[in-house]
Amino acid sequence: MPSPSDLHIAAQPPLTRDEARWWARVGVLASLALVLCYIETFIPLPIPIPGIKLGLANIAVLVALELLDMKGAAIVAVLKVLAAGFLFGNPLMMLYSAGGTLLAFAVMAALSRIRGLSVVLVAIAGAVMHNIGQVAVASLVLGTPLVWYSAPVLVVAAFATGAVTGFAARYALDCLGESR
Amino acid sequence: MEERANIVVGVVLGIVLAIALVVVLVVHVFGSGPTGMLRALVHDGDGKTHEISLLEDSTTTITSSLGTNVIVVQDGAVFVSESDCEKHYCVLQGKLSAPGGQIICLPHKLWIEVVTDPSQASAMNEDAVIGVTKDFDAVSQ
Repeated sequence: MPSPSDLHIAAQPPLTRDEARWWARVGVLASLALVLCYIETFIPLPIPIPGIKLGLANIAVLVALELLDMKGAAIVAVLKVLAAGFLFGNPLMMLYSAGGTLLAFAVMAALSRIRGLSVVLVAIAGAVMHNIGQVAVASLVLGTPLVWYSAPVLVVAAFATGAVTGFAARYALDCLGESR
Repeated sequence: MEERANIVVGVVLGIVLAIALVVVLVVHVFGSGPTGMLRALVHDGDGKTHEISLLEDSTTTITSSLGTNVIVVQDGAVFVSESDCEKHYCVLQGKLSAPGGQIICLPHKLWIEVVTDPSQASAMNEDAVIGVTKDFDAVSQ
């Protein structure tokens, strides 16, 4: 009859179904974020301002904020910055991306806890904060406050890109059966 | 209750958008800052900085130990009209009339930027030149 002291060499208990499902979601959503980053490299925007992009990967983060808890969504966001940075960018771009994503995630996480708030609005707020965060990082890295000249235009653009990703996220959530 | 959340956040975002649009209009349509203060800073290869106002047309010849560039101000814009460097990329880089861009002559280590205040002087952005000169090389071949 095995005693309790023998059990410490036994295999770790397997994940519960809920835990497994949680990790699976994190993995799928993080991969989705990467694929969206890749797709984005095929969509050049005709606007010559540095830092303007659709931010499609944010769709994954938005969905993660709905389907996962804060920790899970945060993991998706961090993986998005790291992996997308290593795969599709350079260390400098990763710095901008990190600053923008950090600010955006903080705001989106807070807003998504408000019941009934439309994903589109959360997405727009996130896009705006993302661009502001990037400009802030740029002003530190380049050592000049002149980059803030581009901030107003980026904020306006964020309303458009945020709306696009927001509607996409809402459509995805509707298809998955989670209304918001 | 839920509708109210949407309306509140929607209004806040709407205000942010309105403010951003106004700022964009003011900055880009009416020019950045009072034009009276716009001036060109020419940094030469010897480490000296020459200040040239964009208000009046002028022609300035700047000679350093590395070479000579002729800087012209015309109609509120500054550009390089002549230079004794080898490839004349500086002459091809167009005109500057507002902060944000740079004209650079790499062989002479000379570069020009526009500021509203001399304290805003920044650093030469060599990466910008390398990208630009690639285009010039491609075109000239």
